[in-house]
Amino acid sequence: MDDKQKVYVVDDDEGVRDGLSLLLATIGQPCELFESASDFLEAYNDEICGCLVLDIRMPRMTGLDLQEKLIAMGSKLPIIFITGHGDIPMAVEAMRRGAVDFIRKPFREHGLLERINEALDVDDTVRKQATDRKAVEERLAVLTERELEVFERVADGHMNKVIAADLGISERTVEVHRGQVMKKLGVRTLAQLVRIKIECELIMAD
Amino acid sequence: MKPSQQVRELAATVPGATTDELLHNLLANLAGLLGARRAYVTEVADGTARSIASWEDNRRGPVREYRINGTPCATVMQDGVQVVDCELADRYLLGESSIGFGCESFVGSPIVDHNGDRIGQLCVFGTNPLDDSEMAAALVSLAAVRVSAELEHRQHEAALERSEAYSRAIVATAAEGVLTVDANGRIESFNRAAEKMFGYLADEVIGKDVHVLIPERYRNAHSGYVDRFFTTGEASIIGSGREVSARHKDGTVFPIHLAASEVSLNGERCFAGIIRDVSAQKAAEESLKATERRFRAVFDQRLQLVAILSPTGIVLEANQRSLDFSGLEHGDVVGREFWSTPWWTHSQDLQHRMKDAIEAAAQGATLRFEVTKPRVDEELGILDFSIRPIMDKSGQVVFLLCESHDITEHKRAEEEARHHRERIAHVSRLSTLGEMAAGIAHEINQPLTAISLFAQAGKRLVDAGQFEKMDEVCFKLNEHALRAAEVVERMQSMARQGESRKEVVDCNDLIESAVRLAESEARIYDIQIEFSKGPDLPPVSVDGVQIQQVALNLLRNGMEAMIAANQRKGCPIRITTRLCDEEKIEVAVADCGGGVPESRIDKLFTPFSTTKKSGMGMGLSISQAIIRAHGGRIDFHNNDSCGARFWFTLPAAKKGSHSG
Repeated sequence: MDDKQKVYVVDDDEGVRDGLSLLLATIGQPCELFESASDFLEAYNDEICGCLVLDIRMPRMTGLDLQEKLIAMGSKLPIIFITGHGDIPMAVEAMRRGAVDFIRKPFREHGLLERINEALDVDDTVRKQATDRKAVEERLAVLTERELEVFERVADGHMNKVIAADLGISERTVEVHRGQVMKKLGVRTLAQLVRIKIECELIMAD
Repeated sequence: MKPSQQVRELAATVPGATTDELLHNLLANLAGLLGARRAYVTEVADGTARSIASWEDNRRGPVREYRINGTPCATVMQDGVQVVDCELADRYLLGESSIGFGCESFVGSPIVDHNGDRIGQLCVFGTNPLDDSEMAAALVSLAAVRVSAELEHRQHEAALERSEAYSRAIVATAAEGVLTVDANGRIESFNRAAEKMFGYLADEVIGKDVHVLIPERYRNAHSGYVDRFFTTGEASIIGSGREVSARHKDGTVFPIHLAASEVSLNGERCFAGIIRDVSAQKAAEESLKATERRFRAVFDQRLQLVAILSPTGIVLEANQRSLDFSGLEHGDVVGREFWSTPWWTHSQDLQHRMKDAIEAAAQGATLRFEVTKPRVDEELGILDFSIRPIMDKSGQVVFLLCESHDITEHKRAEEEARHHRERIAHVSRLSTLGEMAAGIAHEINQPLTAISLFAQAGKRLVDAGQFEKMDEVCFKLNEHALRAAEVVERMQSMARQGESRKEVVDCNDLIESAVRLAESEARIYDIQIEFSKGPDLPPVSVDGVQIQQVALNLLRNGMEAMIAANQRKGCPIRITTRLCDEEKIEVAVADCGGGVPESRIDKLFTPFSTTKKSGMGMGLSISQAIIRAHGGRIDFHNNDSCGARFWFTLPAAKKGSHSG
C-alpha cells in the first residue's frame, strides 16, 4: 500500500465524519474530511490518491453530482458511496458510472474497513498499472520505427532471415537493428528482450 | 222741629249707595238736627278712637285719631250713652289739641256689634248748650243703632264677599275639575280645569243635564245612583271617591277619579264633584303592567336560568326555569343567600366562587364563567353563568342579575366535534409521518451511524489499550444517542393520539420543533428552511402538537410546491413568526414554488381536494379546523415574485391563564 494514500470523507453530517475519522485513526489510516462536495472539489488535484467515501445525499451538490464531475476531470479515484434507507436506485446509478462500492448506514465494522481497504488496493493497482505503462511507453519510445519492428519480431522468436525477408531488408541490416535495440533497451540476452515484450503486452492489454 | 219730625228726618236718611255715604249722610243730618259743629263715627280699640266717618263745620272732615282717655268718649265706652248739655270744657278740661276743644256740649252713644260688645261710638260735639238733652240722647242713640246695624251688615258682606272670592279663586284655579249639579241633575258651575278635561266651555254646559259628561252606557246607572240616593239616602260615591268613566266633548271616554259631596242650600240638595283626570296615571299604570308582563315573559322564558339578587346576595326572584333545572321550589331559594341555596350546595368550591362573584358584582364588576352542576335528572349540566350589577341612575348597585345558559348540549356537540377533529387530525398526522418516513429514517440513521462508528473505534482503542480517547468516545456516543432520541420523541409526539391539551407555550419553541421535523425532509429534497423568530412574542395557549402539525403541513406543502417547480438546490423556504398586535401572533410560510394556481384557490381548504400523488388532501382543511378551534385564522396569497405565502394567526394567551 502506498503511504500517500488517504481516505477522503465527504459527508455533511458532522457525527458521521467524526466517527469515521476516529475509526480510521485507530487503524492508522490517514484521512481527510470534507463537509461538502464543493469543498472536496476545491481541494482535488491529480496527485490525490487513496479513496473517496462519499455521502450520496448532500445539500446543493450531491454525491452523484460530484462523481460526475470527477469522471469528467478524468479522475480514477475509487469511490465508495454511503447510502441510506431508500437510496438503492441512486446507488445502482452510481455503480453504473463506475463506483467501486456502496455501503449502507449504519456501517458494520468489517464491511466498512474491508471495503475501504479494497478500494485502496484498487487505487494502488490502478495507479501502479498507470505507472508501468508509462515506463514501458517511455522505454520503447527510444527505439526508431524500424528498430521497433525488428524488436517485436525478434521478441516473437523470428529468425533474422525471416525478419529480413518480411521487412524487405538485408539480413545484415536486421542484425545491426537488433544490436541497436538490445543496446537501447539495456539487455544483453534474447531472454531479457522477450521478457520486456511480454511485460509490455500485459500492461498494454489492460 | 218737633221731635217726631226730627226722628222721621233721621230715619229718612237715604241709605247711601255705600256705607261711607250712608254714615256721612247720617252724621250730616244729626249735626244739623242738633246744631252741632262736629260729629264722628269712630272705632275704638285699645283706648284709641279712629274715625270711620267725620263731619266738621258742615262738611266731611279728615280722619281723626285720638286717645279717648280724659274725654267724654271714654265715659261712653264705659257707661253707654252720655250727654253733656253744657260747659263741656269745664267738665273735662279739654286741651287745645283735644277733639272737643272749644265745644260746649257732647252727646255720645256706643256702637255695638252683634255680640253686644262696644266696638266704637257715634259722638256729636256742639258749640252751644243743648236745648233738649233727652231728645239729643235719643236721636244719637237711634243713629248709633243704625250705624251698628250698617257696620255689622257691612262686615258680613265683606266676609261673605271675601269667602266667595276665595272659593271662586280656589275653584277656578284648582287642578281638579270642580262642578256642581243641582238636584235635578243640571250643571250649575263648571271650573276651568273641568273645561280643560271635558273640552266644554262652562257656558256650554251650565244648565245642561250632567249626563252630557257621562258615557252613554253609564247614564242609566248614574240615574239609578242618583235616584237611589234621593230615595234611600244611600250613596255609592258621595263622600268617597272612586274611578269612573267620563265622556269628553269629542266623544272619547276617559277615566276620571270622582269625589262627590252633597251640599244642602236653603233646603235644596245639590252635588259638588271634584274630578281628577287619571288617563295619564292609568296609562302609566298600564305601561307599568305591560312592562311587568314583558319582564315576566322574559324572566320566565324557558331558555335561561335567571335570578335576581340583592347587592348582598339575597335571592329576591328566581325564574321557573332556574327552579326546574334543579327541581326546586320558590321557597327553597327566595330569601336565602344565593351561595347557600340548594343550587350550589353540591360543591363547596362553587359556593365560595359564587360568594366572591357576588362581592365583585356588588362593586360593579360583571363576571362570567362556566359551572357544572347536577341537573334534576342527575346528569351533570354545564352552565354558562354570568352575574352583573343593575344600577340606578346615580350608579348605585340596586340588584345583581344572575343569568345562566344551559350549554350542556352545546358543549357535548362541541366536544364531539372536537373529538372528531382530533381523530381526523391524528389520522392526518400519522399519514404525514408515513409520508415523511424516508426523511425520518434518514434523520435517525445519521446519529445511529455516528454511534456505530464511535463504538467500533472505541472497541479498537480498548483492544489496543489506548484508553485516553475513551472519554471523548463515550461523550460522543451519548450525544448522538440523544440526538436520535430527540427525533424519535418528535415523531412520537406527532403520532400521539389523545385528549387535546392546551398549554401555555412559547410560539417560537413550538415552530422550532416543527421546523426540525420538516428539516428531515428538507435535507432529502435539498431545500433550506429559514426560520426567523419574531422577538418578544407573548405566550400562546394551544395544543402544541396540533399547531406543530399545521406548521409542518404548511412547510411540507411549500416544499412540495418547490419540488414541483424544480426549485431545489438550496432554495429557501421561509417561516417567520411575528407579533401582529397586542393580542395576535402570526406564523407565515413563504415558499418559492409555483404558487397556488387560480383554479385551485377556491377549493384549497376543502377536504379531499389534492393535486398531490400521495396524501389524503386533508392537510389544509385540518389545518384550518385546528386554527379555527384555537380562535385564529388561516389564509394565503400568492407572492408577486414567486411562490405562495401561507399564514395563520393565534391569539396570545390571556394573562393569568394556566396550562393544562
